[in-house]
Amino acid sequence: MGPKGEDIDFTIIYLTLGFLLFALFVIFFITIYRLRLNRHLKERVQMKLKFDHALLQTQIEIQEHTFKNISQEIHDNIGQVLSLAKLNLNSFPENTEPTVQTKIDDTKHLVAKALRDLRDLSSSMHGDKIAELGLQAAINAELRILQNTGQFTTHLQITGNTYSLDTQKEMVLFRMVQEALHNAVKHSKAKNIEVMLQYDPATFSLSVSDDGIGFNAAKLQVTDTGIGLKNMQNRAALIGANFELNSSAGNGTKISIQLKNSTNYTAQGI
Amino acid sequence: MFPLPANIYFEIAAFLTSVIFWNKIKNTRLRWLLPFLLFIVVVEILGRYIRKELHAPNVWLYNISVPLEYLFYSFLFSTFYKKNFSVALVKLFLVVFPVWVLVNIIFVQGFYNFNTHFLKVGSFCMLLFCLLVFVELLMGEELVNPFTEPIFWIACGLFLFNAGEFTYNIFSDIKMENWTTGEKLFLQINNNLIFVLYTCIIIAIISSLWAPKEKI
Repeated sequence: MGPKGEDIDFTIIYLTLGFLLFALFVIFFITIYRLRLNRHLKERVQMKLKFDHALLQTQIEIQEHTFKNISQEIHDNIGQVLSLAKLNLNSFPENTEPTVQTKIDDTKHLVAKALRDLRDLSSSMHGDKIAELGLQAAINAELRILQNTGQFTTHLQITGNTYSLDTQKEMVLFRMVQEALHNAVKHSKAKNIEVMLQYDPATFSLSVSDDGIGFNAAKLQVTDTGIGLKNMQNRAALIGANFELNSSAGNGTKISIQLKNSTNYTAQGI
Repeated sequence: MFPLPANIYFEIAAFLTSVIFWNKIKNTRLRWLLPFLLFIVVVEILGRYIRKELHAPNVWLYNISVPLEYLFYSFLFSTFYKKNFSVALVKLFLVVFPVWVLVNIIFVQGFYNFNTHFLKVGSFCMLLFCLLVFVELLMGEELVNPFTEPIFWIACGLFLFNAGEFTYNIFSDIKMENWTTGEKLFLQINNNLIFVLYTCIIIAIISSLWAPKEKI
């Protein structure tokens, strides 16, 4: 073995070790860089989620504020005018002409009905009143309004030992129910509408179902209903609830919402 | 022929892992590992049988199997690449390399001499393709945990193996004439690199348990 042979040996060995060290460094660098990038991406995703959440909450707050203003306007302004009109009608002396008297009586009934409907509308829009009533009573009031139209048969079913959810969550859930009922009234051609509230100790479930014409949920585009459903999904996301829509042509529509019971209430009928 | 060297046991272990995890990998790009690893095991045992039992040269066998290994890994990476440049490069390799190997075998180095030219080009291209895998893993805008990415482990094993082999391959023509005391040490390194490669392949297959299906 001459010096040339030994030189080549060492060259090969050193270069091999050099390449291996370089390869290890590359792998180490890539792993560390990727893990740091992941952390950065996670932070970015979380920031975006927080931002979206804040944005959604602001939107809902603005909406609630608008509802409240409209509700107050209905109550304080239109309601007062109609009350005055009703008072004036009541102060009319009995008319001897039967047709005129019938018309006055019909008008009294119409004004009284308009007042009742406006009061219902006002209270269903007013967030504070909903908070006062509680979720079940508020939903019940909504269903009663629908029932009173004579076009729908409504039913509220409650199972389990009831408990109170967080006020804001109840408000969001109520708005979702309102949206679902609005969709049912406007698009479903349903005869029966049912709302189910299920109070399990760990999970609160809510569903709104109708026996209407249904629709292909997969093909739903950005129509009024589509936007409404998107709103419901957004609201569900805001309170950390699962939202599910089941519908197909001819088989009615059912929306289901599941929310973990984060309060410490157990099934005590609170 | 027996006892078999340790590196063959690692190859057999990798093959058995692919069999055990077949249900998990059968609908993914990793499914190709099973026939490939079977091929590797068969080649290694056959090569050893020819040399030890038949006392015949087995170089021709490796002249066939080694280019096929390069082609296999390139194909595997081609299913992973998303960037047009990487896809184009690996496709070019998949077309040109076999032609060049055939030309080398038929007209340059012959079938019964160990073909060192394709080793140089092959190991260089493997290093390049592994780097492209790393680059794609680095550049991704979605969350990627490299430890649960099977392709990352395969690329790591192959990168280390070829980084260690590269100098040997580059100097292969010279060393065959002057190869002296360093041989034992080099073979030790080489054997360890085989362990590293097949251990990484085993980890890649096992990591398919945690990886999302679309990423395997």
